[in-house]
Amino acid sequence: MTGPRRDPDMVRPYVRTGGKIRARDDVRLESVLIAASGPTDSLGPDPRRVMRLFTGTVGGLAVADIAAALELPPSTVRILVSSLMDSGHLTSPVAASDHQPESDLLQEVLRGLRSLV
Amino acid sequence: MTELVLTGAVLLTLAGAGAAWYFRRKRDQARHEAELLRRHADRLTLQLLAAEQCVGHLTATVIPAAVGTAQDGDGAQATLMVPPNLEGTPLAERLRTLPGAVAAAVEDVRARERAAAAQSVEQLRQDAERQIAQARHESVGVARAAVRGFANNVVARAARLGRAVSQGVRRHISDEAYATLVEIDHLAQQMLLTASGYAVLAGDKLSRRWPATAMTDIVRAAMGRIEGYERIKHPEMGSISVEGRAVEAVVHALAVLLDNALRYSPPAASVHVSLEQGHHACFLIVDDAGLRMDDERLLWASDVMSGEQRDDITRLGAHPQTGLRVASLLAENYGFRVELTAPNIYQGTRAMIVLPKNLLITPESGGPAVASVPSVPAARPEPAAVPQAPAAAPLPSGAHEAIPAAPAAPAAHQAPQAPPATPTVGQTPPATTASGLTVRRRNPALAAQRRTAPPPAPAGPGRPAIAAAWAEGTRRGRLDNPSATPAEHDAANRTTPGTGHDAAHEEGH
Repeated sequence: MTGPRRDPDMVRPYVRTGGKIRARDDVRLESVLIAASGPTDSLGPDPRRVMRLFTGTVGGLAVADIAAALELPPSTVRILVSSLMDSGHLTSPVAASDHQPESDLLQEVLRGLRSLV
Repeated sequence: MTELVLTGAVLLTLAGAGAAWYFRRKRDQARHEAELLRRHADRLTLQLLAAEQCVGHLTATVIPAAVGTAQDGDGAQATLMVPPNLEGTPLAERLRTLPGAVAAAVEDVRARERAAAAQSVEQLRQDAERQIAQARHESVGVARAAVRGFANNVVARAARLGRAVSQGVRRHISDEAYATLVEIDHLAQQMLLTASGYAVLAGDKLSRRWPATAMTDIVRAAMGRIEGYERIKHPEMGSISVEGRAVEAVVHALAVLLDNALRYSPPAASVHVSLEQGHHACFLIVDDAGLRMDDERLLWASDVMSGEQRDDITRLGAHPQTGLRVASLLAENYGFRVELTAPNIYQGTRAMIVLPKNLLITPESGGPAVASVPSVPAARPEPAAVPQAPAAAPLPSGAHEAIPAAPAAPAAHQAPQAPPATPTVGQTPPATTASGLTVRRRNPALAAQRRTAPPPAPAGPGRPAIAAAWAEGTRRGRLDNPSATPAEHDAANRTTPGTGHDAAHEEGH
């Protein structure tokens, strides 16, 4: 058993990521990303393919979605996405969780709403 | 009586006197003759002595001199001093002609000797040359076979290693595993480049086959095979693709040229790759900002690339030279050209691959469209939407052959209106519901694959393994998506077992 007859990666993953081999720690396969508007002309072929997936997307896409759609290794996509986040082309809505209101405050609001009803 | 006696006595006396006179005269005459004979004998003796001396002189000095003259070849004949007492004799004449005759004879003998010697030398030289040529031929054959066997072995194993890494980077998602696999992969790819180069020099064809590939991916594939690819800058190169049969050769040749450009330019300088489209050909141009190749080196390079001995495995130089030989051999075998010029706009060297139109697929030429960037329709947040995206794009990229579409290809030809209950497994057309939605069938092959797959590791909520499994699931889902487009079908045909010979070749060594 020698696996597939043909190598699926004619372009090797390290070339796609421009030699980067580490993704950001906060980019995981299940991380959902949304695209920021901005020019993509300066991007390389693969980042642009990633960005093109987002055109017309209402919500976000998970890293695993992107990997499956582009048929790229998930780790490669994580690195590509990390670079795109660094350059501001993608953002992670989950990252905003740091600034979510405290649960005490939410409890307070809930109690106020109930008292109104 | 007395008278008679007297008369008798007188007569006797007279007779005696006469006889006496006669004999006296006879004696004088004999003495004279004897004198003459003695003188003649003396003269002959002297002449004989002189002749002896002359012959002695002849053998001691004149003939060696004549031989020497013939040897020197200056034509000046040694003269023989004939003693005066032999003057006028035939012997003198003969002796005079002797040195010339000796010299001529010696000259003649020598000429014959020289001719014979030259002939035998020529014969020996020809024999030696024949033997050298034969030995050379044999040694080239032996070296070729050895290099071919070795190179093919390394190529086959490195290619397998590359495929194993491709599987590995999809299977393992930890950062450490990825970093290690990628490092191994980069080394394996360089090994593959070197080994395939030697296989080509040993007279083999390149063993790896690819589908038609967009130019950008050709450049990036070449970048993956060399060290220092981060310094290579290239723009997106549009929709031109290279025919499948030439892809590996062009990638290999480009990798060699890029490697050369990186080697001969400063460590911080970029190497620029660009594409120019001519009327009859496309030009892949590699510009380095390194040391300009001087005329001597350019001449050397063009010699290497056009030399008749370039495929002689026993006359290889150092690695760059090997690379250029391989590039030129590939160019010849696959019908493109490689050229080097200097200086370029960066005062460095420009290397060029000239690809004729028959190796290219342009969008207007009607060949199977190979998009570098797929036109993926708007993906919705629902996970199910994403897997459909590649189905709409004929080929996700040049690098991605249509293997996923292959199982769908037979079904694509069948009429979709066929009864959904057809029991033929694997040949059933896609069933549709009344509203036209596709009814998904169970693929027994995939089911078996799932059964034989190792049980997934227990995954907690939010673990990356779950997302990976999800991605794998959506990929499998696309595998039995029956709505194959004609382009997909074409691509599938290229990868179906009917053409598996190429790929099998890859395994065969």
